[in-house]
Amino acid sequence: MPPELICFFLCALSAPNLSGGDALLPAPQSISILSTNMKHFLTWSPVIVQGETVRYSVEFQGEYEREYANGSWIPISECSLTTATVCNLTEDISAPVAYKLRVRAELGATRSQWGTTKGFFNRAMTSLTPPVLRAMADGHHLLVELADMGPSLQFRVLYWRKGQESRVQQKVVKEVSSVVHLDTMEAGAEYCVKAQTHVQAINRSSSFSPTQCVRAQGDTSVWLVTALISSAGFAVAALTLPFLTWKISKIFQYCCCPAAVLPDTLKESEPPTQLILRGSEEVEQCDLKVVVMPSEEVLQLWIQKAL
Amino acid sequence: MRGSPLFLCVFSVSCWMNLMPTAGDRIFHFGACRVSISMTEIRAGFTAIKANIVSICQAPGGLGEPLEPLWSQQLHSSDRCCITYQLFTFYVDKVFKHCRTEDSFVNRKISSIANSFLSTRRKLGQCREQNNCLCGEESTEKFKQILANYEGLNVTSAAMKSLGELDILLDWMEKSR
Repeated sequence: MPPELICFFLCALSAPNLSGGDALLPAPQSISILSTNMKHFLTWSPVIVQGETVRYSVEFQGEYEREYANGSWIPISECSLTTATVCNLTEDISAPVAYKLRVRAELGATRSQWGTTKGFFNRAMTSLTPPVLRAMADGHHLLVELADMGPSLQFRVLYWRKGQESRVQQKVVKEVSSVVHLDTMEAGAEYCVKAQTHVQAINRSSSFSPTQCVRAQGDTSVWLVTALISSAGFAVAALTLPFLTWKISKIFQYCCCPAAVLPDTLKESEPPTQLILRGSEEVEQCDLKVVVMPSEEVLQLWIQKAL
Repeated sequence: MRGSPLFLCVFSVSCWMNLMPTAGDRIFHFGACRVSISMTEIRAGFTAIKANIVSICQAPGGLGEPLEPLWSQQLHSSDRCCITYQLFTFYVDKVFKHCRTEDSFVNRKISSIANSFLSTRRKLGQCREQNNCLCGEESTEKFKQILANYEGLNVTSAAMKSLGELDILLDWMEKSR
């Protein structure tokens, strides 16, 4: 073998070691993107070096960088020299194009080779989960509480009166503010609600959440409340009416036949019978019966006496 | 009634929410051609870096000045599509690649805008294929002036200046929609 060729082989073998010690630090493995509900994370398995802390740096490349910017890569500063094995990409994967991600391990001045994601990632590939919701009845109002899932997500809420599944109504909730009013319910009826997550930017929807049903405040309870109030009313009336009647009769009695009390001076200590008796003697003495006789009778009496 | 305050609260909040700008894409009609553009994301990216860009580019005058007479006109949908397409192409081909700063955050936002522009340009290209995107004589002439002005400047400062004027284009697009 000629010496030039031997040199070439030796150079070729030692070249990777000369250029930054790539062989000393292996590149991160199992690089994958976990994307749920438009939140994207890059994960990788750690590079383990006994007794040392390995750091990682992440870079991304969009279609623009590939096609117009000489295939350049843009570092994500939050994930530069990080010890974590996860990196939040949500802010950077914001355009509807195909992205590539890469990560490398660093230990002091030693850097591993870049480990790159297999294939491309587009934000439309995110997996969408159904929303967590709670249907509520507040009087006759049908309300739904939706858990916040981030700014780019909307909710398509379907609701219907139980038994009238053919007449399903829809409401799109764009921003979540804990509780949303859906409809006014018919008294006593049961209403059901289900919802799905929707992302307008990628025109995709999740599956539906499990259906939840609530019953509106019914006629029975209204009747019960009315009955309770009216019976209480009757009880109160039954107690107050006799009292009122007695009181009114008292007032009338006072107005028409007042109970006059005689002053003490007018009161006699002697029984009235004595008064009458004494009086009668005087009256009898004074009022003697004077019989005035007509003249013929006097004449007749005189004739009889004379005879 | 117990539920009334809660109901009123929910009602007022939902009214208030209706007044807020909706997140996500906006549909632009160019004749028979419909294009959805993620204006919210582009605007958010631009707002985040505008202060930094203004401090970088100090050159006076506006590169978009030749187009100013067109901004206030009622343009034909085909003309609107053409101006939008030409400007998006201009930004993708000539501007963004020279917009590199020392600030990693700014670079990331510029990448976000550039990738959004690239995908929008692609959608507008489909309108062009359907002949819904033909430029009128006036707009073609104005556009030539812009390119001439741009080429006359230093590449980096011209690029940063054009980036700083991005909101004029976005405002016009939303106004003429």
